[in-house]
Amino acid sequence: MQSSIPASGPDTRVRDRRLVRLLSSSVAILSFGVILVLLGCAVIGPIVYSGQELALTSASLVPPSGQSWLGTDELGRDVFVQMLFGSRTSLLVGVAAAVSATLVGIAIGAIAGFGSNRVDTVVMRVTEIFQVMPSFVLAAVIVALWGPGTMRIILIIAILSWPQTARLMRGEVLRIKSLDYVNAARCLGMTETQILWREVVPNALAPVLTVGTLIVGQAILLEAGLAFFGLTSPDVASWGKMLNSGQRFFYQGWWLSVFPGLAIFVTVLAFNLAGDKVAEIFNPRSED
Amino acid sequence: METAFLDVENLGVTYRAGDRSVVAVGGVDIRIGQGESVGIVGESGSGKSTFARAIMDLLPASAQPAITGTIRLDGKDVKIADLHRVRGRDFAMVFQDPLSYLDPLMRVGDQIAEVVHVHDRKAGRDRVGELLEMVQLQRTHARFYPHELSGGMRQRVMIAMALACKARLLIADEPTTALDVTTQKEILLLIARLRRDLGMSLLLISHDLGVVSEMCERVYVMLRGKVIESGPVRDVFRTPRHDYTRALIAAGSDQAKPLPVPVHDNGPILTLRGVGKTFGSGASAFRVLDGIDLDLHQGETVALVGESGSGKSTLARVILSLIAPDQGDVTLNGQVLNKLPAAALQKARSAMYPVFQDSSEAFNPRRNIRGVLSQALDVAGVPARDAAMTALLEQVQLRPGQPYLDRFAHELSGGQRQRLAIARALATGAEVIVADEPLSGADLSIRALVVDLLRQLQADRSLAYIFITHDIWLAHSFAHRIAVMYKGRIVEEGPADAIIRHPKHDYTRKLVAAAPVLKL
Amino acid sequence: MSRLIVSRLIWVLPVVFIVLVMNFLLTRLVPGDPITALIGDFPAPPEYEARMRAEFGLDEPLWRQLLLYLWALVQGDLGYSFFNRQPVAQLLWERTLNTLLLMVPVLIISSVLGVLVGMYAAVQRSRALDVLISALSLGGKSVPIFWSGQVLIILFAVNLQWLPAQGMQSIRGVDPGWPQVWDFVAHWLMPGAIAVAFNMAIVARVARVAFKESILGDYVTTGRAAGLSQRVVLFRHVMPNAMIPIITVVGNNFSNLLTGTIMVEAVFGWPGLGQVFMTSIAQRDYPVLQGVFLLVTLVTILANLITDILYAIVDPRVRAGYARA
Repeated sequence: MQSSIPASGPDTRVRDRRLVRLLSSSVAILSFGVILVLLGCAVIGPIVYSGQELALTSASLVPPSGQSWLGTDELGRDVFVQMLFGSRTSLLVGVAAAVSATLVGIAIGAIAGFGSNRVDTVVMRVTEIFQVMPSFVLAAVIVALWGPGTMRIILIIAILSWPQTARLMRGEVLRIKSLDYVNAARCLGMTETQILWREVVPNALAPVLTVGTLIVGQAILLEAGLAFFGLTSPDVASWGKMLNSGQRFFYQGWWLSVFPGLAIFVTVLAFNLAGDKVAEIFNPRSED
Repeated sequence: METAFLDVENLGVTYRAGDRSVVAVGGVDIRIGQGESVGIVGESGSGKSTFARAIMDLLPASAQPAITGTIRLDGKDVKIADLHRVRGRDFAMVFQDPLSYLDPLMRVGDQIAEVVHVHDRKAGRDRVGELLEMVQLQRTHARFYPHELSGGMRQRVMIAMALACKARLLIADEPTTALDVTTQKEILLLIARLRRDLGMSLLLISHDLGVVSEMCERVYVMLRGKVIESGPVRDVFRTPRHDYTRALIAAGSDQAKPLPVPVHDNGPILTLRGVGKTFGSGASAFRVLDGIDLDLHQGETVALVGESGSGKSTLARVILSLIAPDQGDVTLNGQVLNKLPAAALQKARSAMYPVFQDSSEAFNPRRNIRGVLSQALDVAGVPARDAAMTALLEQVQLRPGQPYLDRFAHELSGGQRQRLAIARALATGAEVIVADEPLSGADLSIRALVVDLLRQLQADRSLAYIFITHDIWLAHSFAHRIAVMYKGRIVEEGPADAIIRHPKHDYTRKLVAAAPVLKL
Repeated sequence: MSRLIVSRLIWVLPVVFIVLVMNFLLTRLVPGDPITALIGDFPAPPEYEARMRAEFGLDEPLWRQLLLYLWALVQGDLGYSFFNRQPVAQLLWERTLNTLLLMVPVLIISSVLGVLVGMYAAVQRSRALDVLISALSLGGKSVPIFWSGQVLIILFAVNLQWLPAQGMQSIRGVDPGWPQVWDFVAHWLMPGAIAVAFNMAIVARVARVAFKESILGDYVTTGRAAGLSQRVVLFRHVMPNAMIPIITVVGNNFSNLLTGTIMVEAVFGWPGLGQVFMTSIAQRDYPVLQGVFLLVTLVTILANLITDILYAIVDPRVRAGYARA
């Protein structure tokens, strides 16, 4: 029965089983489904409603109705259409920042964990400094001083996020490097570089990728926070910015605050759940 | 028949896991007389620890244990539900690993005082000092935290806590397994003396037949949750009736015959000359290895024997060129390994391969067995065909070999994994195998299997082994020569039988005297 | 112990220095004229601008400017807020007091409640509480904290009109004594409850895991085997061992709590650091923004320092590590 499975690669069976477990979890299907729908909205939405982002479709502050599903704002713009445009910003910032932070974190963490003590000390010192700086406040000060811009915000969030990945990666590499199978590989005559990238890094990736998923959520929240404090450019649609303008209309238009916030919540929740699920699947012993 | 102090009849423990239930102990009868010492031997999973924890009511509630049977104390029935009233009063227990079993945040004196207070509210602080003296510690040790004490001292603290209970039965669950043999001897002597002085009964649980034969009057042999044999120690060990007991005794006694030393003509394959290694620098510098000379010939097994901290594992790593020596040379097949450039070393060291202690860490978890073996065959320049790999697996008794190829090392049992490690070493075409405690933690029956396998392979391929172990009797039965290590030096070296029968160095003598063995 | 404090200080000082240098560089590497970053984006009188230029040595080399900046900091000079017409240090001091009024009760309530809930969930193996803690902590990681404030305002202030929506006390003023206290509590209730919920979720989550692990510790078996009562085992052995990870998480989470408080203040118009941060962003009042960043960072470093010391008080193994080093 074991031999009936074709061996297309050294770890196919592990991967197959993980995939099966992933797909058999309803939470996983739900969270990945939500992420896919959101991606669809972000890509297609602005094309369908192209040019209508700022269109004054109807009267101002109209409650949700068949005409405008989620109501209109104080200038008569459709909240739903604005949110579609906003989804693009949130997902772009979240995914781009998380991907770049994770890549940088993996590379630096691997080198710190596997390299000499001196490299390790320097890297750890740098990440410790990042840990004591409150990322939202620092990001806000930088954006306030240097001016807004989506690319700039992605860059800042990535710079503030890589240390957590690097620390985790370093810890994993340190742990794995002390395992005897690494010595076994060394005795097979593999070079240190081969050992790092073929034997150590692949086994260290699982928790790091999980944290990468969580960073997407953190980045989306951070972007929303910056926008809420009025730190994004006025011509880019953003959920956080909608919450900022909704702040003035608690008494006249609850929908201005409730729906964009709900969108942030659902998006971040989906990424966090997906991350938790991925973690659970990579580590069957983790209970929490 | 007189009333026994403790009489357990038909004790069963069943764990519930979801819908299934697992029988851990299935109907065990055990009697312990007043002041008697009784041993339970068995391998891991035999249910011996579960039995002890069941009568102490210490089984983890999360496993939902169901305990059945009758327990009589001094002839009076004790309900299973009332067992928690007995523990700490009539029964006290000491455990295997005294570091984790002591609260790391509390001074040991306070931990003892806590127990004293429960059993004797009027007892003063002085009682703690008395107890410490009873276990041959000083009163000042009360102010120490567990991590500041050595393993043997921690076990003494545990015993002091058990004495504070003023119990009539001491249950000791592998009390010396985590300790070095010389410390083990001291602790066993202490337990024996206290038992005599205080008239306590002892229930000693151990995998080590030697320990039980030295300490106990009667013994129970457990296998898969049942008692398969029992009786006075002398009778059971001399005339075992059960095959399993016989196998255990064969593997654990000193009856093994010394191996004939092979004739070597080509000179040594591996030589060490004046090898030294220091860890750290300045004031904290620690000399781990000092002036080590050693020869290994083709077809020969040299055992490195010593206690923890003697430097034997470091020496293995130096031989494997995983760490470089500060002094001296390691020569393999005429090449001085520690003077070779990195690229040449990678080639030269392939004549040698390790087998590690913990087989669960010895394989890349992402490679299946086909991947593991093909990597190793690559080194020997053998094309990695399934047929070649299957043949290797079958040589180490993993047969039929084919189905194993797509499995992963972590799916195998410990014994199977250790054999896979040997298969990998064979695949590299290595002539020298460096095995660092490959059998520690393994049950006796697995040990016997692996030792036989290693012997067979040595005969077929004239392999040379460096075999590192803390168990001097295992070394005696397996190695041609023994080198005894103490504080980073080889203090004595020679033919195995001579070292054991006529030790010259004081330390070797102490080691041989302290190591428990089943003398028949 | 003193060795521990010294060694931690040796670690802290370079970190503080690097943070100060970063803060300095932020203003000097800014695109455009650094004078804007120093006085904010307002029409300032030219004489004032010239005086600042001279005071901060903007025409001198960078390292001279750094020294001048550090010298000013040592004297407690964080710059002048043109918009608020008062020195930044004085402004932040007043606002910090209000932030503490909001935050200190939050820290105490959330830590105590979090530990108790986590402990109860672990000891009683309560499935319902486990789910609740997981849901709370997942929610806490996913909800924008400022939005949860907005939802509460719409619910309790706008629709139900139970609680005041903004500020720390009623504008019209109330009688001194109890009415004043109740007025404060009413204003505190919504922002306080939100901050408590967010922090408690984190504490309860780690407390549950820590107690679960501590209960499984072998020393618990020893205690039970020696006949100690459940209560003694729980409070003298399980609890101290569980506190180690809890202390670490509460300490490391301090900067998140502070950031969360800042956001909540901005929503509820609580006259603390958060509100001044938000208005300063709107006014591009850069000296105040930098002051807030510096203050929050230094407080975080201090919190970490206190965490390390507490950690060593609880765990003798950590003390031993420092004694040997």
